[in-house]
Amino acid sequence: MIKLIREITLIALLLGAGILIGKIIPFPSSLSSMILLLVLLLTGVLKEDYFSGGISDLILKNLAFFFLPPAVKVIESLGLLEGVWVKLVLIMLISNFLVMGVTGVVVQLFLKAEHEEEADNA
Amino acid sequence: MHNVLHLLTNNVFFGVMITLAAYAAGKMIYKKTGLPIMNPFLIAMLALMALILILQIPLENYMKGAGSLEMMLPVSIILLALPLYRQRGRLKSHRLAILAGITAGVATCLISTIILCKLFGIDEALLLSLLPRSITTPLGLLMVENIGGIGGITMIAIVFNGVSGVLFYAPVYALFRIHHPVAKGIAMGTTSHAIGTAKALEMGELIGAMSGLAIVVAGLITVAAYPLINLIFN
Repeated sequence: MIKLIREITLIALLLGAGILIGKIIPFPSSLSSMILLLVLLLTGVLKEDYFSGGISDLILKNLAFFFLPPAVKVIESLGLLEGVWVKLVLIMLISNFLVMGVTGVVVQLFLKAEHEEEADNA
Repeated sequence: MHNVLHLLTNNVFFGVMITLAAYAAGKMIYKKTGLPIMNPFLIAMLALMALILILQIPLENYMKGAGSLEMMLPVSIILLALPLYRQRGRLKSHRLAILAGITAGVATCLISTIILCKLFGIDEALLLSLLPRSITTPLGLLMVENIGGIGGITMIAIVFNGVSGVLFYAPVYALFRIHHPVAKGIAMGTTSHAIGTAKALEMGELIGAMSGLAIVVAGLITVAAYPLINLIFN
């Protein structure tokens, strides 16, 4: 129980810190908080154990759930697509297909080069 | 009838309860069928939209409860630091490949969208609204305001990207021969942000961590590209 309270308190503090950072630099507070949490874990200020086996893992396992309300809300904007939706869907499908493919291929090419370099050095 | 419906929906519980019910149903259907197209998020989203449209429930009634769930969005983003931390070793040793892949992905997204929009004769405001779609919602909405696009279109495009990555990752991986978990995760996160990351975490912690990392890095690179876009269009 104390572990759970500590976990929730830490998350709330991180959220607050992100909002404060957002007042100084124009950057989404949630991403600032995420980077902050990563830095605090890497420097050993916070222990990974504080967030293990509790509510954090439950939320991570159901990440998509919290994106439902904003996704459902797009029905109010669907009217904007009238007349162009077929074109836009086609454009996004082709573009996404390329983005995913190119990203994966480039990562693999670099991984392969790294691997060969290691083999050469060995 | 309409009064009863209004009474039932005009409260904080309604939005929370039907979102939970739709998500649970989506998970159950996915588990039973095991089909990638039966994605829990997609099923829940379509079911909720259908319910709201068919019963003509005012969106503001749904959002009374669902808005409180939306407040949890930042929490879910913060927690993506955990898989990143757990995979820090891989992250460090593959940092060059990761950075190169995401940069190539963001560039492909911007360039292919501009070229395709010109080919299809899409006007500039719509084009600009489609550009920040492969990044996470808060960043995308921030960006679209800065470049003069339409927020509603960007929101639709962001959701579309999330769903399309989740639906089509298998044929894309196969066609481009993407088999390394780091490449799979980075490709998913760069295309489909958090909705894709939810799927990636299901595929494995390394894939999920890489996808989560791609949300942050792709977001940062897209933000950095914006002065350039403004220079071209405005």
